Amino acid sequence: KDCDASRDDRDCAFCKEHHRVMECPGVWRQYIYTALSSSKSVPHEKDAHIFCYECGLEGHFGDDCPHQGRSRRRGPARDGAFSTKSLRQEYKFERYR
Amino acid sequence: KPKSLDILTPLPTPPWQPKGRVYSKNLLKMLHEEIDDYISFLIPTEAEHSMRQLTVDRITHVVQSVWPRAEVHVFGSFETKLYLPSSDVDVVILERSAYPPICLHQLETAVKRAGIASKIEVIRNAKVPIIKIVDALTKFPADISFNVETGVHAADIVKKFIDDPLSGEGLRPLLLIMKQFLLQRHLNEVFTGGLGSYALMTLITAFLKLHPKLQTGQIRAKDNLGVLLLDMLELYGSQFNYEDVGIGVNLERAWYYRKEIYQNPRTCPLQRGPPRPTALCILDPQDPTNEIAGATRAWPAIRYEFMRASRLLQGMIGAGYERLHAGRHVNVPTLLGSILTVRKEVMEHR
Ligand SMILES: [Zn+2]
Ligand SMILES: [Zn+2]
Repeated sequence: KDCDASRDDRDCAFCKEHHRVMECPGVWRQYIYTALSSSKSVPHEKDAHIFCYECGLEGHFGDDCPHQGRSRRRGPARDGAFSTKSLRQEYKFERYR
Repeated sequence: KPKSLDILTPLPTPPWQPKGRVYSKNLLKMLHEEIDDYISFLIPTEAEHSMRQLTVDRITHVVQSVWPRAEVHVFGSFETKLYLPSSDVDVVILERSAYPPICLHQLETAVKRAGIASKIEVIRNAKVPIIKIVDALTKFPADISFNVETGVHAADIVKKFIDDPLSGEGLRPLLLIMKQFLLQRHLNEVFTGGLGSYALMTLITAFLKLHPKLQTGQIRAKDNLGVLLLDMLELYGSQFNYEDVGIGVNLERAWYYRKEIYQNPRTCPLQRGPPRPTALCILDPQDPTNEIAGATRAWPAIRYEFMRASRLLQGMIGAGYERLHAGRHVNVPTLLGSILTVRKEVMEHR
């Protein structure tokens, strides 16, 4: 029951991470996937256009930007829509219906 | 302890909601369903579209009484039916012998003589001078401009973007939502520093073309309208670093670039010179030397509204999940209506 003792009202009911569910990106970032993508190899991944909204360079997404600007302005990156994870695999959270 | 305001406080039922409509308890799904209802509601009726066409015909008749060989075109949103019920009819006259300010006066006189307008106003000092009229018969407002070729070609570009197999299905709904979103906040007119519909269309297209899941075919836009709206509001409202980064789109692709590559006035290929550091920077899909968002001085306010809307919708969906998870009743009449209101007055033509 240690687990329960350490829980507080900031433990997200959706993903169990330490934030309020109102601040949870997983609870709303739920995609309906096409049948096509259920196979492991995503068809056009190698042709993807990858640009960074943070530094403007090509080759990485803004959520993964290694450059400084981000910490200055917006806090740590999350595995959001514009991240390599988003390109490679289904979002880490389970769908709720 | 003071009770904080409930984020799921019931709002009035919006006009696009069909009577007796029951939405999903999953609020993200509900948002998607509401967007579908909103779009179905906004599709112009046959009657409305033909009344708009009649307005164009009446203007064409008067224009050709002055310049018999003038071509009269309608801006992008007409053929694609991407206009709001309250949108003006945007007419462009192509006629080499007509140039402001004389042509403004000539047309004004002709319109008055023909008596087709219940109201007429000439805006001479704008970058693109226009004549604003209200059709006396159809009651539609129309903006008439001269020799703005880009406006004519914009129609083709919009059609091509809409036909894009991966992103096209998302463009129409997001554009119709964001047009109304900006309109009701008075942030949609270029001459008051707002974001015009062409720049807005380009901004949304860039989002769709660069979305990792859309561009790789993992998802289809038409199945994911709610989450795409949220992704877009988050990207442009809180994530995008528009001080350093600009946006480019053409028919093949979209890209970002560092704005500093255009900072040197001597080498900058942009027609209006280097972009301002605080300005949104978007290249015209028809001409990469034409920057189309520099006049949008209200961009910080627009960006703030995007951020607020994304936080509000995210919060509502989270609160709804929490409530459902706790086994409590969730009764939310509208999510989309918390960021959009379609007033009764603008529905007169329906
Ligand atoms: Zn969470
Ligand atoms: Zn970067």
